[in-house]
Amino acid sequence: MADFQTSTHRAKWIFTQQELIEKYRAANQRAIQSLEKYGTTCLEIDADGSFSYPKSQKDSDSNGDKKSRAKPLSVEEELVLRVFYEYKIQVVCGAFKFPHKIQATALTYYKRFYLCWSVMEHHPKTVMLTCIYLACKIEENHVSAEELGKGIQQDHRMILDNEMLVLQSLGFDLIVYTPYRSIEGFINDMEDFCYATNGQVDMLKDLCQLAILEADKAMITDAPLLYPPGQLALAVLRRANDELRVLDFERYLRSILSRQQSEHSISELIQAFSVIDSLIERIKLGDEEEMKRIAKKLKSCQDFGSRDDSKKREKKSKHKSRRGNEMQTTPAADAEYEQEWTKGKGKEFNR
Amino acid sequence: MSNRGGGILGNHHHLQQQQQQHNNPNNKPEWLQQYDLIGKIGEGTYGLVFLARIKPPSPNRGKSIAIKKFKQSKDGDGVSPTAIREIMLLREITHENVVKLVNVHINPADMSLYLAFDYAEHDLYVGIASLLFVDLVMEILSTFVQGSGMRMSHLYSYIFSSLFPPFKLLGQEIIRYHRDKVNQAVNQYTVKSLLWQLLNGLNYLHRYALKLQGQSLLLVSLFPPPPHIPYYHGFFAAVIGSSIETLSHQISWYDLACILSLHSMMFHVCIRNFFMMSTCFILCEIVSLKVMGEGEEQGVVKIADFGLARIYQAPLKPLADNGVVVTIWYRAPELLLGAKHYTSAVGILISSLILARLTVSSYESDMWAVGCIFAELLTLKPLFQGAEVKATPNPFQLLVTNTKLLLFVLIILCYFSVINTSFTFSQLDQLDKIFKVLGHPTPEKWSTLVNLPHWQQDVQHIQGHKYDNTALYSVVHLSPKTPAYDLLSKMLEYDPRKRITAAQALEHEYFKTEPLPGRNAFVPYRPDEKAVNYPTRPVDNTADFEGTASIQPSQPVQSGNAVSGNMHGSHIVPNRNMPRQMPTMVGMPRMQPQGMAPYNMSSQAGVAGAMNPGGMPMQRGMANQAHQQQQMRRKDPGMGLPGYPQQRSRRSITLQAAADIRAMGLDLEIGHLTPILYNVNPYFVIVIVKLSNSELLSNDQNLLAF
Repeated sequence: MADFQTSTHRAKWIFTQQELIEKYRAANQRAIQSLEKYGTTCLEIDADGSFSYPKSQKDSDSNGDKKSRAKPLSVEEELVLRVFYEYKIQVVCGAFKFPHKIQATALTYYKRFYLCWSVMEHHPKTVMLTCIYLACKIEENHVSAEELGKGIQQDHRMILDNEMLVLQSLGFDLIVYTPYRSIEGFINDMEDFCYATNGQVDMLKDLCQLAILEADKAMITDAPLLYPPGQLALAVLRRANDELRVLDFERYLRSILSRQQSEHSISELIQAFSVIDSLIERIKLGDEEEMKRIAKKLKSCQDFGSRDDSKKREKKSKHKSRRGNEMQTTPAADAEYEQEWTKGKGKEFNR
Repeated sequence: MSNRGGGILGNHHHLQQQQQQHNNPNNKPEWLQQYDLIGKIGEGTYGLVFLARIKPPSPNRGKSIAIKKFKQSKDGDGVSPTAIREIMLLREITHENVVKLVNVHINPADMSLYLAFDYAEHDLYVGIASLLFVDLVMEILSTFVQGSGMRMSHLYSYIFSSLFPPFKLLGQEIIRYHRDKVNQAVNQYTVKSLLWQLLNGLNYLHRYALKLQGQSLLLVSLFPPPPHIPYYHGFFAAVIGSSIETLSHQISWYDLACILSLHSMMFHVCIRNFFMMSTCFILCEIVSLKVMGEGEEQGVVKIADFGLARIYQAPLKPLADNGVVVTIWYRAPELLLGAKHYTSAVGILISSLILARLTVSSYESDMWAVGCIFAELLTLKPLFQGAEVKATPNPFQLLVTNTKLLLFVLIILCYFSVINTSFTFSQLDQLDKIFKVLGHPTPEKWSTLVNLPHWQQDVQHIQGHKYDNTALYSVVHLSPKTPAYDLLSKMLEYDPRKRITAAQALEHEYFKTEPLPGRNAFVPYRPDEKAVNYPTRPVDNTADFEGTASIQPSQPVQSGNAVSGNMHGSHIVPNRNMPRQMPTMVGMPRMQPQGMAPYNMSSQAGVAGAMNPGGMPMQRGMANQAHQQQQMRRKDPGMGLPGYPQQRSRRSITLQAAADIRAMGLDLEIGHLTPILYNVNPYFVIVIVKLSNSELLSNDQNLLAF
């Protein structure tokens, strides 16, 4: 939509590595503090997006007792959990056959959300679903919360409960730019370039497809928060091109740089690309054991203060214990994801 | 969003504060405490608009803010997409001459959204018929339709045809004020500044819309019309074709109304989505221009869009006051002559190229309108004051008081007038007025003239009549050699392709000679001149942020007719600056028995005022009843209206539609089709999709930027 140059995306949502590290750490610290103070990190969310910390337990004995047992997640563990659900966003969107745009928008929302919150404060599963729901709304592919909830067999109320919170955390900056469209734009542009140079126009389709797969990977790194979508697109195109050898990428880069007075030099761009490359290569998806461990830890952080209210939660935990699944996910559809997850992990990310 | 301290969106501390106040529902929300509420200035089904001032601790204290409150979404599906759309677009647009969204607040008590805008005091030109207005009327009318066996679509098309055409640029408060009250010309500096800012804003929007052209909407209808409704047949294809290309023309609203009324359900949802998505396209049409009244930005023209035009204006004033019925004074001659890019076949022609051309052609029409406004600012008289169609007899009187049968007949008639979109007397008269001033257009000067339908059809009237040569300078009292005259004549160029663009106009010599245009159009240019005090907007001081009228014995709630009847543009509310006691109930759950009654009254007030363009006293009982029905309907979402089948299996329909579009020769991957909305009944599928492919084509430059 509109113009990236003047967008809020460019102005407010592109950070440096250092800034990201600080933000993640700050969120983590805050959650740890609230764990110490209130015995839980989980915030109670109302329908309007406001929230409250649960009241400190009156029963200080049990409180102290439990406090000693609950250990907060480390920043690294949070990262593993976040990435896990980022991958899930892609899976869920894929299952609904949403266009790429929605998936990418949802991912972007999700990433931005966890810049100001810790996963200990808001469970990534609900946030993930709300982000998908919102992305559908924004990208004019409206799916009712109920429908969405049904599709993945989750209670749709929890999607709606979080909506305001997510909106607010995003600062209502809802128009986001994702690399997918830029990829197509560059592929279009490359056509001319290819005609002029080596005539390998047919290969571009493959290149595009591979680049989109690469972009999927890039989307679950921090790269979208670090680089504008145009650079992301070029980076994944370069990766794809390294494999397929369709065109002389550096020459192509020079040709676009010469066409527009860009403030970037070619070396700057290449440097950005290699950072993105390394981010993609470093994607770390915890193995199942680790995921279970972290999820358990998260549960112990969150479950503390909330015994007194919410039947929902009780029901959920019953659910969990019955299934012995720590990820708080529900049967059929989710089991499927899990399978896919393990499959996909081996296939796609260990290349 | 930079000019405010605390409470900035997405700020964690803000969230925490909110959390605190949430624990004490008796206190006002934290964000609300930073404003002094002055009163209500507008109302509709979407919500309410209040005028407020920022309180002292803030550096911007005393600054006026318009706060638009969205009502809760009705369907229980989270925040209303309408609100979200408006917010997301406004967040991205920052321009001095576009109204500014200062902040977004959430009221935790009822999960409603409040948008805080910079407040614009004077309406320079107000486009009346915004979508929201139609939405409002429809909501009322739907209650009449219930149980009558009538289709909502009939009503819709009726409303559209009767309300949309005149919405170009209406209600010139400032001009009227000068003409009627001050009786002196607007000074040159003011004229120039207003014009410059108008062009500046328009230029921005035009550019913005050009960038957005890839977002264009595509309307495709894939199934034959229902056989049992004979009058659909003739114009079906034409309607589809023309509305695709004339999305941004006034004329297309007729067509659109037809298209959308071809199928019978969820129409207003559909229309609303359509509008919101194409906001950037139609900006120039529903735009209203606001002139800031006070503070640092005094006299700065703001373009307020996204339907806000009406929010500020309509409910407090009967529509007839604004000369609603039909004003085509600002309509460009090519539109009067029926310019439409006819399409040979349905569906296949849709390419970004065509859309681009159309968009451009509507820009040209905008520039014509700007020219007319310019002349009007100079002379205080409409430049081409054609005969207005006095809407005979006021349709709404019939709607309200007469039988459904009569209504139905009217609607049928209306259909036919829509179909024919024939060359009416008023169009002819308007052209006559134009030709008298500018001379007769000739094919030499205007090469595409011969292709215009009405030019060809109506040989003896238009072509036959001979006019004397140009006398524009004598009409506007300008010497032909002045830059002002030069600019004006370039704006009033017959051939749209030769007409000056907003960007070019901004570079015109006129703006480079003394007096130079300034940011504040209202300060006296020379110190010895006196600043003109323009009338301020009427404010209903009896409302609070919840939309409930406060219960103060000394200040009885005004009834509907009092509100709509008394508040004229020049009416200055005397107790404007009176400090108002803030209601104590804000933040409480909504059910206060004594609070409900006034709420009903006041909302009905706005409603009655708005839907009663003839200024007819409305029958209280009727309106009341309507309102109650409306309330009931809201409470029971399961009870659909007749003709509103539930939407089912959206997904499969979309895919089906995508497949069909492909079959029609558009080579699109399903992935490229982002369905914006789609609808189905046994006969039609209407799909509005964003053509992401064309987006790519048109947006290359942007895409490649990084």
